[in-house]
Amino acid sequence: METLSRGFQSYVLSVPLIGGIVLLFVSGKFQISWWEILLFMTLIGTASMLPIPDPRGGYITATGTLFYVLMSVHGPVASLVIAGSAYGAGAAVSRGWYPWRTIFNGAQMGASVGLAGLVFQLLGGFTGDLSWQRFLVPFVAASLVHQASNNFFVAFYFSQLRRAPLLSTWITDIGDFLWSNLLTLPTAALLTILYVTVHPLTLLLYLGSLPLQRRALLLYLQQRRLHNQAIDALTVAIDADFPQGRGHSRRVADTAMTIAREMKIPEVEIEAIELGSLLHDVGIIGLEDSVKTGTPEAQDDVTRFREHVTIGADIVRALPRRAIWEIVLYHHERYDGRGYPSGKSGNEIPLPARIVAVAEVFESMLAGGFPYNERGRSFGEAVAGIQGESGSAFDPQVVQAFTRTVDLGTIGASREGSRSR
Amino acid sequence: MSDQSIAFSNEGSARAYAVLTVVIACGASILAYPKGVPWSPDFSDLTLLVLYALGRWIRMGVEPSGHVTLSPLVLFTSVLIGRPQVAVLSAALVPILVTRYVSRRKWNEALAEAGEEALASALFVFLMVVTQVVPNDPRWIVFPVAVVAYVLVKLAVDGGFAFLSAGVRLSSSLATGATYVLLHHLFLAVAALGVSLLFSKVGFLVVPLAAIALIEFYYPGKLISEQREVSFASLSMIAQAIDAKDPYTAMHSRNVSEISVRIARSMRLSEVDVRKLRIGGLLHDIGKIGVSGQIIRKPAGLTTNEQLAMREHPVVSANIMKPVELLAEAAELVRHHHEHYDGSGYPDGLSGKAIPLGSRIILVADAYDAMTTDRPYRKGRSREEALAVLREHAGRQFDVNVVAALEEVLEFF
Repeated sequence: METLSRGFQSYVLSVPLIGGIVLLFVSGKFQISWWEILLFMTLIGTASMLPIPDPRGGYITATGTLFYVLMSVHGPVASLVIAGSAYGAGAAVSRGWYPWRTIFNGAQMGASVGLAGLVFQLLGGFTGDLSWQRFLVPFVAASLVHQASNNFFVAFYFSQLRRAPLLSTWITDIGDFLWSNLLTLPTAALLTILYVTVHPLTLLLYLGSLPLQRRALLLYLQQRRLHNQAIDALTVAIDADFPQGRGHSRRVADTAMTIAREMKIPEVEIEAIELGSLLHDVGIIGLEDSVKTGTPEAQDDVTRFREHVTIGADIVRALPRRAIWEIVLYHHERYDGRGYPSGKSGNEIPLPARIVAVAEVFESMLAGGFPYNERGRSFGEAVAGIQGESGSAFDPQVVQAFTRTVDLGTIGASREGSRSR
Repeated sequence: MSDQSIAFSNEGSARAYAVLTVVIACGASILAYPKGVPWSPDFSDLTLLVLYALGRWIRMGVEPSGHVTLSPLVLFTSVLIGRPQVAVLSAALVPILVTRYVSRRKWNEALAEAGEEALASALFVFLMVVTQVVPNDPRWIVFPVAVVAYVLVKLAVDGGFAFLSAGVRLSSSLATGATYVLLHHLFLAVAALGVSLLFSKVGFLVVPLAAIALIEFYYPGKLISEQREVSFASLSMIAQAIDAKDPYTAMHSRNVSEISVRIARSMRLSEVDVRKLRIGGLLHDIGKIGVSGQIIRKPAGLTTNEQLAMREHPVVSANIMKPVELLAEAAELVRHHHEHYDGSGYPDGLSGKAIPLGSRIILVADAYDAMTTDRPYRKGRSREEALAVLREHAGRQFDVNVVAALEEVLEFF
């Protein structure tokens, strides 16, 4: 804390100061009863201490919802004072008492919520007329202003603290938090309506639901962890049985995902491509040891080895994503139709399988061993090997995307990273 | 060998049942359609239709069978705010599309669910409209009655489907899932009542706000429900990967899991125990992951060391499962799944009731599936032959009650 620049210190001090001045100037009367103040203070304080895990990562708190009720019902001045002090107090209790940080946090939140209340009033927002023109539209606009202002304060804080560029940080933050902010609006608007038309204490119902949500999400994350562990364990088992050894499946997955991202495939599909590539050789577990270790010489063994795609497809059929099954079954098909198991050609082969085919062969060439030479090819030779088979073994579009990622260095970089592991 | 799958498949009768439900539901919807009530469709009706579909998207599985969604909230609300037509139309048209193409259930399931929803909704709307209940009406008593009728129809139709497709008895689905389903719908009914009251004070605005707020609230439940299915699918994938070491047992673990679950249901075990058995049956051989494929496939004449390796696998399986939170509860069953009733089994030589009931069930299911499967050195036995062997060894190797339960299960199929 000694290292903070003077400019930063004055920024941290100026935010509460400006808040105080605004408060003096507005000097509107509080039209809010003491017990409502107490209600909001308690709720906001409690909510800021109850972080809820966000399935997409990180934590969210429910304070935003309460701020929107507060600013629309009680106007800017009450919002500034209540939101600021309650949020500061909550932060102090849950994250420790650092005077400068607590005061800054409280003040910036108070200012943002107050500003939102001001915007709500300026746009003609009025909770006595709960129509969409006089309530919902100002409500949504005010929430966006609150978010933008809150993101600005935080971005400014970090731009001073870590010398991050202000404008780009701010814009990225707005984009990142926009969706979760919009999702709080229906609940916040409904709670406001209940607050006004039924009773303020209806807010307690909402507070009561938070631990339920928290528990449900924690359970979900736990289950997802288990699932990932199971897949990891299986991947290790597959690679243990395979000549190209440890990490092969993971490397194929990384390469396939890089190509898929380059081809602008939606993130949901990429998730399936990742799982499909991790499991592409799962059928090898079912093969006899003679088939999978040695170089197959007898025709019987080749035929048997080729069965790993159908055995594998049977195994992954239970998974809910069809793309995973397609990858396992079709990753040895060739674009010209001379592959196995069904001899499909061109676009008959599902795109995810065409992508994994490139990634698989590329990784196998680098690793060496059956069916390539013992030592493995160099990076340049492997790239040339893939490009040489464009249109015959591989889909030219996939090879183009692959070439672009090589030119950009994304595949080369991820290769080096995975190899050193 | 892979078509040598589970002995119970009633796809046909389940499909026939599903189609029949849909046909009856179509008739009921046409009968219940409130022709007498004036209606000019507007933007609000479209909103209700969309909200109904969104509510349907929040789909949570219920043990032992069936599911709940949030669309009843929109259904109840639509009728309470005087738009019964859109309620009938959404219930008849939306579920089949959402269940098949968004939730991606099998056709059988999608049909049965759509029929169930349309039939129950038709009854609900009929009861409400024929008695002309409007909000603030003293005859409100009809609303709870109609809600309960709606739930009962759903439970009955779903119970029938669960019996035909998964062998779940109506008594066991009523005993466990039904309470939850009833409470869920009562909660939605109270919420719908609240929304319709707010509607009369504030206007249509509250309907989408409340529906979306509730959908958000339930969203984690949907995530959990889906993740549970995915987790189970990946466990069964691992089990099958192990089975693949021996091509003659490709479906063995899945079969053992399925047979154990059916025996457990026939013996009226609690759903908690059924869940343990489902996982235990699936992973009972996971310890074989370390045993070489050559020993597993060997027809006969294992050396002493090989025998030791094989006999170790229940302990290895249990030890693999114990540290994993969600599998630990089934580890005990897996450890003892080779104990014999007379104490001659391994690893601990337990006997009689000292062996966990779940382990005794897995032992019978394991033996039955192994006997009925073809092997390189012999053809699989018929159902009757296998049962005769089990009966012969009942009391010594197997628990008499479990064998009797298996016989009962097989009678249905």
